Amino acid sequence: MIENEKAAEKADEKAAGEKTLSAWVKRQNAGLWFGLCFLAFSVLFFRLSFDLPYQSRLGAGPGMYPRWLSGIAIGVALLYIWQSCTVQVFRVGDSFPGRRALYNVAEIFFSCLVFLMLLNSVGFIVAGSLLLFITFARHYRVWLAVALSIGITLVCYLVFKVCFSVPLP
Amino acid sequence: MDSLMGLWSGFEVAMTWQNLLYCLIGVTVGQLVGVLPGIGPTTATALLIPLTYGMAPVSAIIMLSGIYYGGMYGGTITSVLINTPGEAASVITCLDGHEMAKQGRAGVALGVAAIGSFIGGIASILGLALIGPPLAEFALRFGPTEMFSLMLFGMTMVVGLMGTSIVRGLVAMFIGLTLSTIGMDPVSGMLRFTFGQPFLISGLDLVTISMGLFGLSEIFLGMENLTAVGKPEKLSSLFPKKEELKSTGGAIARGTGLGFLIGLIPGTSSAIPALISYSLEKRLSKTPGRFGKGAIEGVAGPETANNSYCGGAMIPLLTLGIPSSPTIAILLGAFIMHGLTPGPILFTQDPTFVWGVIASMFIGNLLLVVMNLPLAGWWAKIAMIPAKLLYPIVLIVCIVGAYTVSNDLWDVGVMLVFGVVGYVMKKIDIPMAPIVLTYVLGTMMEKALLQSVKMNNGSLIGLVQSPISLAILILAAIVLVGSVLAEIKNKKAAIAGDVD
Repeated sequence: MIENEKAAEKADEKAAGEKTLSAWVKRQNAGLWFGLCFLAFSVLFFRLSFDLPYQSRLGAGPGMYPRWLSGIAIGVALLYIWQSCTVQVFRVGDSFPGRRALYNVAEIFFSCLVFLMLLNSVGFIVAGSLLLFITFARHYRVWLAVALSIGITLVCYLVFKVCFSVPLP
Repeated sequence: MDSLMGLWSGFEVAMTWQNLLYCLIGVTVGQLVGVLPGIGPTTATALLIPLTYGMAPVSAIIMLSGIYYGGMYGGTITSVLINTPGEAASVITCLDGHEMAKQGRAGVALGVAAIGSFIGGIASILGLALIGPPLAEFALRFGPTEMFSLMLFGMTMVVGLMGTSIVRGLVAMFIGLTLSTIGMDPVSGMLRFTFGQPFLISGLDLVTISMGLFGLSEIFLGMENLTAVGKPEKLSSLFPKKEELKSTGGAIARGTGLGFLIGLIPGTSSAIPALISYSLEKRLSKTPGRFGKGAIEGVAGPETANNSYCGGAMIPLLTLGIPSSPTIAILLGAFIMHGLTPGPILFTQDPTFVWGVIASMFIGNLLLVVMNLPLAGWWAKIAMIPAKLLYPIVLIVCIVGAYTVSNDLWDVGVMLVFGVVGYVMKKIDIPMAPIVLTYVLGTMMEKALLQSVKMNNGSLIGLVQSPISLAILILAAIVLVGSVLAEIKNKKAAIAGDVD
C-alpha cells in the first residue's frame, strides 16, 4: 500500500516536472477555468442587458431584472474564482479520470455528434445504429456489436414511432 | 372532513382503469430506475414528460409522480442485495442492509424496508391530504409580493442546504436564474438573449436541460468505470424476529415523522432524511456498535424516512407551487405543460385533479409493496445488466426523449451541451439541483417581482411592508447567514483537521 502511494507520488512529481501538453493540462485548475467561463457568461448577459429598456410604460422594463441578475452573477463568479484559487483547488489531473476512462467518455460524446450530423440525412435507424455501434465496438465482438446496435435501434424505433407516435425521421 | 370527502372523490378518479394503468407504468418505471444505478427518478421523469403530451393531465401527473416515489423503493433492493445503491437516498441502506444480506438476512432487510417504506409513504400522503387544503387556503392570501419573498426563501434554502459550499451553490443558482431570462419577457413580451435564433423565443426547455444535467452527465460518469457488479445475495424470510419488532416499529415511526417534516423544507433531498434518520437511530440505540454490522433499525429508519419525504415534498408543490427538489421541479414543468398552475388555486379550481393524484399515491404505494416483497430477487437481477450495455441504451432513449420535445435536433444539441456542463460540474463539486430549481422558479420570480414593483409605484418597499413577506424575508436572511457561518465554521474545522 505504502509502495503504491510512493509510486503515485513519484508519478505526480514526474508529471509536475514534465513539459508535455498532457502534463500541462493535468496541472490546470479546473475550478478556475470553470469560474472564468461563468464570468464570461455573466459578462455577456450583463452587456446584452443594456440593449434592453430598463424602464417601460408598465414600470420596470425587460432589461431591469437581467441587468441586476447578471451584475450580481459577475460578483459571484469573481468570488468563486477567488475560492477556487485559494480555498479549494480542483486540479484537472485529480478531478478528471485517466486517459482510458476519458476515452470512454469521449466515445459517447462523439457518437452523439455523429448522430446529430447524420439523423436528418440518413434517418433514425441508420444514425441510431451507428451511434450504438460506436459505443459497443470496443467492448463486444464486431458481429455482436452490429446485432446489438441494429436490434436496440429497431426496438426504440418501434416503441417511439409506433406506440408513442414520435415522428422520428 | 372535507379532506376525507376530497380523498374519496380522488379514489373515484384514480380507480379508473386508465389511471390504474398509468399508475402501474409510473411505479414500475420508478422501481426500474431506482434499481438501475446511474439513472435516477429525475432523468426518468424528464424523459417521460414529452410522451405525456397526448394524455389527460391527471393521468400524466399520476404516472410521473409514480416514477418519483417508485424510485425510492427500487434503490433499496440493489443496496441490500449487491451493495450498489440505485439512487442517492439508498446509499445509507448499504451500510446495514448489505451486512444483513451477508448474514443470510437479505429477506428481512428487504421486508422491513418495504413495510417501512409503505407505512412512511402512506402516512405522509395522509399528512398531505390533511395539511394541504388548510395550507392552500392560507396561501390564497399571498399576492405577488409574498410569492416573490417565498420563492426567494426557497432559493436561499436550496443554496444553503445543497452541496458543500455556499459559493458553489450560488454559482449554480445564478446559472439557472440567468438561463431563465432567455426568451420572451413575461411582462412586456419583448425578446431577450435569443441571438436571433427562433428556437430560443420560448426559452430553453426544462426537459432537455434536466436530461442533459442529470441523465447524460450520469452516462458520461458511468462510462468512466465499466466494472461489473457482484452477484446478488440469496433471499430468506421477509419478516424480522419477535424481539426486533419493537425497535423496528420505533425506527419506522421516527423515520415517518422525520421524512415528512424534512419534505416540507424547500432545497432538501431524499438523501437528507435518510442520513438524519440513520444517525438518530444510532444515537438512540443502546448498542450503537451494531450499526454498520447489520442493525435492522439502520435499514428501517432511513428507508421509511426517504419514502415519507416524498409525500411531504409534494405539499410545497401542490399548495404553494414551489418545487422542493429537482424531480419535483420537473413535475412542476409537467404541470405547466398540461396547462395547470400549481399553487393554492389548484385545490379550489381543480380539486378532482389534486385529489386524484393524491389518491393514486395510496394505490401506487400498495402496488410497490406487492412488487417489492415477492419480486425483490428478480429486480436485483436487472441491476446486473453490464454498464457497457446499459449506458448506450439509456443514451439512445435520452436522445429520442430530447428529440420528442419539439421534434427537432436542436433539443438534442442542447441536451448534449448541458450533459458536458453537468459532467464538468460534477467533477468540480458544483451542485446541479439548484440550476433546475432556480430555472423553474426564475420566470415566476421575475413576474412576481415586476408585478410587486408595479403595484407599489415602481418601488420595492412592498416587500417589507407586507408582514407575511417581511417574515419570510427575515427567515431567508437567517438561512443565508446561518449557511455562511456554517461554511466558515466547517472550513475552520477542516483546517483544524488538516493540522491534526
